[in-house]
Amino acid sequence: MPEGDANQDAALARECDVVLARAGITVPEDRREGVLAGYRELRGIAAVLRQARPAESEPGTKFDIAAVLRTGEYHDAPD
Amino acid sequence: MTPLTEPGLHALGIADLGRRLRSGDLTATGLTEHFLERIAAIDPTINAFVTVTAERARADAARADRDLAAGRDRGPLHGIPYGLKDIFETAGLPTTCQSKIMRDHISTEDAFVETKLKAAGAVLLGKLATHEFALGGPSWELPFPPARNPWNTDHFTGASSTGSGAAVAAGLVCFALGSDTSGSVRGPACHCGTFGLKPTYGLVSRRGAFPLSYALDHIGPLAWTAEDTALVLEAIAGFDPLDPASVDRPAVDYTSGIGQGVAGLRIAYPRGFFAEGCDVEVLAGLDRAAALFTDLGAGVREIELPDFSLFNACGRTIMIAEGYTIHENDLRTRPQDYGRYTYQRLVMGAAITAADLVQAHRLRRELAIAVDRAAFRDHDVMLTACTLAPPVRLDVFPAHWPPPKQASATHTIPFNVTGHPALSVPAGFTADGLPIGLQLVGRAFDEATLFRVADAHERVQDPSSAAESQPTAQSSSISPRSPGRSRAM
Repeated sequence: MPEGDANQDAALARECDVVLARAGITVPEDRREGVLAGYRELRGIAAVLRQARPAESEPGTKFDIAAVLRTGEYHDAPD
Repeated sequence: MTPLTEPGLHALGIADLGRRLRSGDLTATGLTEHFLERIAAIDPTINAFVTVTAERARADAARADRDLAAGRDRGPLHGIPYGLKDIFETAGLPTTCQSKIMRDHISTEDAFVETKLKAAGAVLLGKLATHEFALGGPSWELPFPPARNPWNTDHFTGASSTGSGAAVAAGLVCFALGSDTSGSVRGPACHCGTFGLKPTYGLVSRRGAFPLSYALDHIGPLAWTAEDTALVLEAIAGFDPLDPASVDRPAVDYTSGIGQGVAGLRIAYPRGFFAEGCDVEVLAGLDRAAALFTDLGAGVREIELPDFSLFNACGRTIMIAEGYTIHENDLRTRPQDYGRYTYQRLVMGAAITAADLVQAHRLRRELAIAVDRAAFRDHDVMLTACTLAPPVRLDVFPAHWPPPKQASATHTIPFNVTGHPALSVPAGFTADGLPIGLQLVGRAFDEATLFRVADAHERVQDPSSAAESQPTAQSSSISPRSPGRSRAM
């Protein structure tokens, strides 16, 4: 593994340890490998989520209420 | 009177069995004994059951027989044997979630759906295998072994209602209930060659099912035919004031479209949404289905959906954040009591930030509206992929999470995110004899149209070609249900 990648992996592992320790989690050594893999994946997911969203995308109403009022009929959401 | 061991009973649909029960040609007791015999003979090979409730089943069956004799007919599921994923509370019986943490838990109440099935006169045969707490993965370090695929026991069943898929496919129950947070009804249905429905969010109460994610959990049936699946949904759907997500709506005849065909229906086909990375045989099955629906008189048109990575990021962030919240204390204090996969997946919830979670909820609204506009403004149903690959071998799962991409390549989570109803439909077999499937998605609360389209597809499947593709050793040792329609035409 190139030295840069190794340094990045070590930094990611330290970051993961700190984040979990802050939540009161001490990862057993025999489970560490999968937790680190999951943390790496989570960072990728977070990058997808952290894109600008329009103001109307607020989480108060998750479903388009108009679209679910009547079975089998499409009702457009307000633009 | 039918002998207790009449061969082939397990291959009949619920409607046919009901007709025989009502004609006096068959008793619920005889039917139950038939399934108990099959469980004893077959289940040691596929591990679909965590608990077999033979005593309870015989009592349920005797009651069903007495009721019918007295003229008390409780409906289509009267006397019909079923199984429940072992996350559903069942009063007086163990509910373990396949975990050391819940190993000694005896339920004191019934889940809402179990109450409904009892009222419908159905016969509980037992509790079915699950991935630990409906998450995790196939694991040999839990109190019970993982379920195996009846079509080839070296292969995965799909996650996480593993026993539900295996038991229905092997003909050990007439139907089963599972839970679906990111595809856990539809995945096992697809990999085991059965039907499996994730209903519209709010249609079926989740009360009494051990939660994984409040926002994404759905309860749904797995069964052998589209009609059977519709009959089960009819029995378990309904308003529950004690489930905050439950929706109060009029009862629906979900079998109304059975036998009606698809002529005149408009079907959206988002081929570009799933084609990249899709197994060749799975993709061919989907293209065949699209061509078939066209031949049957439906209008099939390609559409585009937002990128899958958005649905995946949104759904997984919410699922893991909520799952972590539910398990936080045990994850801190008894980590070794979780299976390795479950722990490694759930503990990540501690690393999800408030900003990530809020962004996921904002994105969820956008995606729900985007799917409505792209798929259901001008179409009645959407045809898409369920799993992108046939079931992998169980031995590809490594000691640590994650498994190879192919093992978890499903396109089911988008509709947990959007709440639309989604049905996994068998679509034949690979050259190696492993089931493949497709997914039909509908407008909110329009499950009836999904069953209509699925039934039309089921009626023209060619059972002979599928049967020929089964590996002989497997089919002779396990004898899963024969593919294709089994009820009288």
